[in-house]
Amino acid sequence: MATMQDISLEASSGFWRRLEIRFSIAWRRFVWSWAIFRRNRLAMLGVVMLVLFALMAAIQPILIESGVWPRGIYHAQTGYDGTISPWPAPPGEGHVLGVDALGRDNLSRLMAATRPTFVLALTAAATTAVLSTLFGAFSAYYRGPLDFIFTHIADALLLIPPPVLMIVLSSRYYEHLSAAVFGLIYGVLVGGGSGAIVMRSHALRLVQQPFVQAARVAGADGPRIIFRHLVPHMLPLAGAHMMSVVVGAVVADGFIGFLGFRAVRLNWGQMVYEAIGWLNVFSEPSWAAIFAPALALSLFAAAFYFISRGLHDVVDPRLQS
Amino acid sequence: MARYLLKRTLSGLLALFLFLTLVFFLTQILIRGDWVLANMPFAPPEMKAAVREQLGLDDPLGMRYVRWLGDLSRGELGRSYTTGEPVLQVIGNVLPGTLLVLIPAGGLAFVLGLVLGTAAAWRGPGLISDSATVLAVLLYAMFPPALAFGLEHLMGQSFRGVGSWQQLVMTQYMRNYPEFPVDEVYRRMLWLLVGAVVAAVLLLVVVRRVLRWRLSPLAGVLVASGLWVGSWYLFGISEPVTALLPLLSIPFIIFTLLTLGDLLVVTRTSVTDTLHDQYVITAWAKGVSDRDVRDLHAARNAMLPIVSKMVVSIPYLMAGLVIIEVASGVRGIGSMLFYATNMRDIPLMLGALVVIGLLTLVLRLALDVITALLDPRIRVEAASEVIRSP
Repeated sequence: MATMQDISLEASSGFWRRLEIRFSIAWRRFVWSWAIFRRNRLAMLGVVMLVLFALMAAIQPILIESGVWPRGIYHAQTGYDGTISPWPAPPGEGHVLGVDALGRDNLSRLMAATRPTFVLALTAAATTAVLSTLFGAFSAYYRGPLDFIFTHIADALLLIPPPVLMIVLSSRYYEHLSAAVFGLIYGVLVGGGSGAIVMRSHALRLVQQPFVQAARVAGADGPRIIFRHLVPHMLPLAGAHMMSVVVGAVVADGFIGFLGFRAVRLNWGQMVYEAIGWLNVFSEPSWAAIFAPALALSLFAAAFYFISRGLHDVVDPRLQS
Repeated sequence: MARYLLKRTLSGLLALFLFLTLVFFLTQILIRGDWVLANMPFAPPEMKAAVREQLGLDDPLGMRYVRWLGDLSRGELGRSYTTGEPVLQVIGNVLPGTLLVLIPAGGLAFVLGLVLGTAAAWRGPGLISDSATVLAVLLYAMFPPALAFGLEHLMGQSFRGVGSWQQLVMTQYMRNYPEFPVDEVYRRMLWLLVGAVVAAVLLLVVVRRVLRWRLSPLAGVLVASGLWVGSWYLFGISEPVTALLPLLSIPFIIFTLLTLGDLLVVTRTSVTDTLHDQYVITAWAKGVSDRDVRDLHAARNAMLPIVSKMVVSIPYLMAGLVIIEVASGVRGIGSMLFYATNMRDIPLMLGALVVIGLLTLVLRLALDVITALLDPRIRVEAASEVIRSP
């Protein structure tokens, strides 16, 4: 170990050396956290589920490009199966979940809808994490008027039901509410609202810790203490919170899709709505077509929730021993 | 304590004011159209101009905002664009429907979540406990419209979600019971519910103080619901109520499940955390019975994180309320807000948002009171007003 460090000390300049140390600390912290995370069986279940969803999103275009699923029949938006009549049709040969009112394969659509949902979930999570950490750290460190303003903004944002805001926005920006924009707006609402409240109370506890006092005594200024000392300790909880936010974002997105307030082409909520609408054709509802997208939506959101529970274990100092 | 609550209330009102400002400007800027455009499209231009003048629709945005706030402070919310009724009256009609779902479902989910979550934590990690948690998370993350559809199908009803505001009057019911309007029945049910809950709480307190029996909170739920059902018969509204119950039961079931999932998981984690604490081990060591260790030592101290987690869940629950009411076709403040937004009925929409904001505020204050009651540190801090500066 010592020789390794000596060699790298000679070979690299001060900047690279510092970067290397930083990276090795981060890596060690990651290994340590992963060991705690792994002990939570539900969290591991969440990871497995998420990997399966990622595979689902990746396999659909591969199947079509490779010709296993002929493009003309199985394409999520333009394909149709002319051999089946009438459309929509219940599950049958070649179509595990049946085909929809335009003859498109439901399974293919279900798989294709995973990608936009991933985009939405990740944007919402990232926005929430960044905003809530910043708001929380700044208001906990500076207190005073800044804290007052941030806290009241958070309380005000807590009062807005996100689906309603999305409906209002859709009245003007119907075409522009893509999955990423939806995730961004949802993230701002939650990250500035409930997320900021959670992170602030966590940061308030951190500010009292000796290492923050020591940094202050050593002459570090506010931003340095916040970004170097507070934020790294807030990240796991921010991660836990952002993962649980995804549940609300995905369900709200499904609902907006269900109601058709967004110019979406692939959305699980919209698929549920369409499948319910087939009751005009069938006397008996097509359960597979209704509940497969609904189940996909729930499982996808639940995967993030499970991971959030695992990250909570990482945050909890009592479980780290 | 009183001072702490006063401070929380004032701060909540300030947040409400910020929220209203945000909502007002957002709707005024984003949504095109106003009362004249909505209600008198074919009137002669000079008449339109006169009405615009009279309602002050062409005034600058800031002036309209100040006037709206002034009206609001006098308790006036204007008239609905679509029906012409005063907004306050519409809200008064639909609010009981919401509270009838919110209060019993929230209470039941809270009690069930605590009891089941504590039991799951007590068993420790294992197949039963883990699968209960997985199930709870799936409930929490479920898609309400699909569940509403499934339940309605099971009960032999047709899907009521996503109709129109007018459809929510439930013509079938009106034909059978013309002497009992829906809103009136809801209002009576609500008052009887409040009475039943108060009576049940009093009864439990008496049993506990006089007879020294410690009853599970589940017993409280049973007593309250028994009293409530009994009171329908006592006050002679049992027939319309039983006709309406299938309608109410679907949002009730969905809201209970949605809230239960989150509470169960949080309770389980929180109680599991306290099980490692010294005082729980001490309680065991000195020979306190298993049940008392669980209920009095572990679960009691686990309440604090649960309550603070609930504050964060409020927006999710309120969003859920809108989604559930729309999906199950129930007349309530959530579905009213949805249809008002859909119809660009700005006064009705703002009114609904004000009420939802107030409802959230009351819920938060209630949680603050519980937190203060549970946490001696907050009581002490509130009493001595210690402000720790960094």
